[in-house]
Amino acid sequence: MQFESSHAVGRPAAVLSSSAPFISVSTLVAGYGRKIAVDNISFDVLAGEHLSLLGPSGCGKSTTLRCIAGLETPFEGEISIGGKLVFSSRNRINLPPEKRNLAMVFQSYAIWPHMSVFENVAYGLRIKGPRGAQLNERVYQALDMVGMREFADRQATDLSGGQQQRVALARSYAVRPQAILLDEPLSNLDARLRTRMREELKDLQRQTNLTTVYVTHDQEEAMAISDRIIVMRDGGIEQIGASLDIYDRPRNRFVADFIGAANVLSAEVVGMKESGDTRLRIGDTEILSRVKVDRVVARRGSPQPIIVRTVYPKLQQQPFQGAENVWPATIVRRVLLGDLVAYIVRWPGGDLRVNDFPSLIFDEGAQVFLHIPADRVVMVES
Amino acid sequence: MLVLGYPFFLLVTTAFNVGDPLEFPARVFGIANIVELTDRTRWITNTLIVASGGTVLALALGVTLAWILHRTTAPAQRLFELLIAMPYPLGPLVCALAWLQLGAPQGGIVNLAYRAVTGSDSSLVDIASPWGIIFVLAISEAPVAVLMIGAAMQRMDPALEDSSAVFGANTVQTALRVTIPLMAPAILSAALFLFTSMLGAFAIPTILGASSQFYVATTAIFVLFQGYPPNYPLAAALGLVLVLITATGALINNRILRGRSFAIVSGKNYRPRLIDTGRWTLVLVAIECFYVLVALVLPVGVLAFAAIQMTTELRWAPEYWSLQNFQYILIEFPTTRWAILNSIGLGLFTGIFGVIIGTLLAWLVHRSSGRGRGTLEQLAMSPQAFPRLIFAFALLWTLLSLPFKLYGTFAAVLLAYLCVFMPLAYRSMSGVVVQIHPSLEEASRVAGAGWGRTFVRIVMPLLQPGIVATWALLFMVSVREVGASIFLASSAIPVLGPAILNFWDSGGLPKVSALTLVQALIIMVCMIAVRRITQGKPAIAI
Repeated sequence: MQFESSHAVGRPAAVLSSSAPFISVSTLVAGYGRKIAVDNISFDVLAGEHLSLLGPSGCGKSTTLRCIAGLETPFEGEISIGGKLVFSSRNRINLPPEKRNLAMVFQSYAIWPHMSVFENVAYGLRIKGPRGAQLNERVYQALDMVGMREFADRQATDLSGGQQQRVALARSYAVRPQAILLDEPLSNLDARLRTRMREELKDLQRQTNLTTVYVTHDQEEAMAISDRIIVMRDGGIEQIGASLDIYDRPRNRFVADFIGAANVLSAEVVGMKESGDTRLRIGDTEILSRVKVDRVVARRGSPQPIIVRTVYPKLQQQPFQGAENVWPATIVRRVLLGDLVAYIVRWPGGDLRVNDFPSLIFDEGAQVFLHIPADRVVMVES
Repeated sequence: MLVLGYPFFLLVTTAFNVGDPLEFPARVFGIANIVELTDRTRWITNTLIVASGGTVLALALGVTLAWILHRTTAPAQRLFELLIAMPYPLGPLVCALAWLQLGAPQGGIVNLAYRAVTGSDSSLVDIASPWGIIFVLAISEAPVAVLMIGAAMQRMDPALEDSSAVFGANTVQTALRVTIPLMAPAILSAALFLFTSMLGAFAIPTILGASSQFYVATTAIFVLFQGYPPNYPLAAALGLVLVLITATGALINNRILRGRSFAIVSGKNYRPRLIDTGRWTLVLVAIECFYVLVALVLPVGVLAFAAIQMTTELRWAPEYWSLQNFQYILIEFPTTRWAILNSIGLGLFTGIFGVIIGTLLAWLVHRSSGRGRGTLEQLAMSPQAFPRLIFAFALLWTLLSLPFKLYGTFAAVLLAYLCVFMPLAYRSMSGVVVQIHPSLEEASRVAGAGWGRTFVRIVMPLLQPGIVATWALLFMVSVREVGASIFLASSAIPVLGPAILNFWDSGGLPKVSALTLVQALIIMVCMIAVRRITQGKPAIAI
């Protein structure tokens, strides 16, 4: 699978454009036994960047992370960290994990149950770091960061899931690593705690400005935490890009479905308008699209999938004045979700899922007008 | 309760009996027997030396082999797992009798080979010594250690070691600071299990200690029992001391198992990161092969070789070979023929009743909410405080004091087996019961099935693999049993273990070897059949 080199789009340029790649993974192939889990992927993580590997289970994201950590030996490829080659199949280099100067937070936290909280955090420091008062200072400083100072003397087994999570983070920050790797760190927490920890994690990242590689299957988490996201499927990379860029310009149906909620519609190219918008036939009507992702070539008469995020269409009782892509429509179904109202709307193009704010609520069967802004209609790869 | 309690009561009273030594229960009490025991501390220290030595050696083997099997890239893991487990179900008699022929100072095959190769006239090994007893105890009990420690290794979250590596610890530092401390409870528990079972070992010290008059507590009790006049009170006093030591060990072990707050957090098995051993792989495979050779191939081979000899001398020439020994023990000699049949029968019934009682106990302990659950569990596990020989010794008097005749019947031996193997049956079935989530039964009840239908349609099928495995386990330990049978299996009801020991006293090695081989074959057939049925899941659960 090839990856796109255009991943710089939409990234906060001021922070990152000057940074060189800090972790560089190239043509990585890895797996277990004869099974290939990661199939020839390449990407860079810039210094200070927060990058997420996102994908469904079995897509190879954890294997990739473990290869960076040195916990798995790849079949092929090269990995360098901080300018130093740590793995290369060609040059027969394979630095063991303990020589890579990284920190990692595991899905199961991997808090050593036979040690106190203090000893857990001090573990990495005791191996080569400072001793005595300086060690204490570093440990307490790390525990302060996660608000766990008063738990220092507790046995690790007495902690709740969220507390273990914090200790695992403190343990990672204490060693002041080159980069921190997080393997689904929040997936064992309940939903409410997960949201809170996500925010805390984001704050910690801002404080430390450490290069971070974050593995998750939760798109919300990836969006919330990272500067850039790599979407993976079946051992390959589907798309690399800034979070919002991937949301607004998913490369294909898979990415569109996996990130956020989207209507994926089958249309057919009819022609071009002078404005540059593409005219597409859908159902009994035509729709205008202003956006296409990189490799789409809109050829007249060819089938063309388009995606419309559920949050972008607008509904109202009166006709939209002077706007294109407007149709009369019927509310078929309405589901109250609390913060949102989910409608299924019947329009000449078929059925469309629309999420709207509950400020104005339509009843099922209501006649409304539907407007889909042309810059929210995205032509994607099939 | 009564079946367990009354024998213990008799043991205690007899230990303090200073009146008529043949009176049960005793009427005149004193501490003379205990005082006399202080002159014979040799028996106790011998027992402790042999059991400690055997435990240390078995543990070293267990840790090494479990590590090779579960944590390294050494090949043929499944095959070696099976081969390494085999010596345990085959039982102590196989190893002891075979090694007597392999390592005897004069005619032992190993020593003959040593002399032939080096030209010296000394011996390389003397198996009929305390060292020999320690060695044979260790190789025949090591599979238990491999199993217990291996299970703990598989249940440890590999992320605990992975994170140690990520935070800068090398392999040795990780082993010292993470792996070993986490494995410590499992290793300690295995150690106590081995130690208590070796305290009560009987067959191995009998066979290897007799010629040098080296007695441990169990063999001393047997000698006191058989002597004329029999010294029951002294035997009981000795037995009581052994029970106290064993019970302490079992108690500590239960504490550890209950307090196992870590290492075995979940019942989930992990796939740990295997250590690529590279060039050392050959050495590790050699270690595995050496153990299999010493504990399985050589013993079974030697027994097979001895069993086809026409005379007691081992000869290579085929004209001295015949199957007459098998004909003798299987057909001509009624005692051995009956011993084989009785042992198979006892194995069948111990298995059946053991599974029923074990299931019932496990169900009551893990599913009921009654108050007596803890007590019930302790009761089920209490026989582990008794070395089997001593329990049988005490049960013998109980049976003799009954108004009706039970001693010398099939039922008496069955009762003894059920008592001594109850902890095994209970623990094995508990392991199965706890794995069946209560919601599976609840779903059946909600779906409209009554208690009975739920049990037949849901519980039984789910339990079935566990039942087969537990049954097989009980069958095997019954067939190889010696200690509990030696007092209860009289000439009226011969069984294999004591028959082999008696035969060894009188019948000559070829016939003993043939009989021991038959015992091993019965057990192996059972093992293979069960592996077929349960599709390769290990048949042994400790």
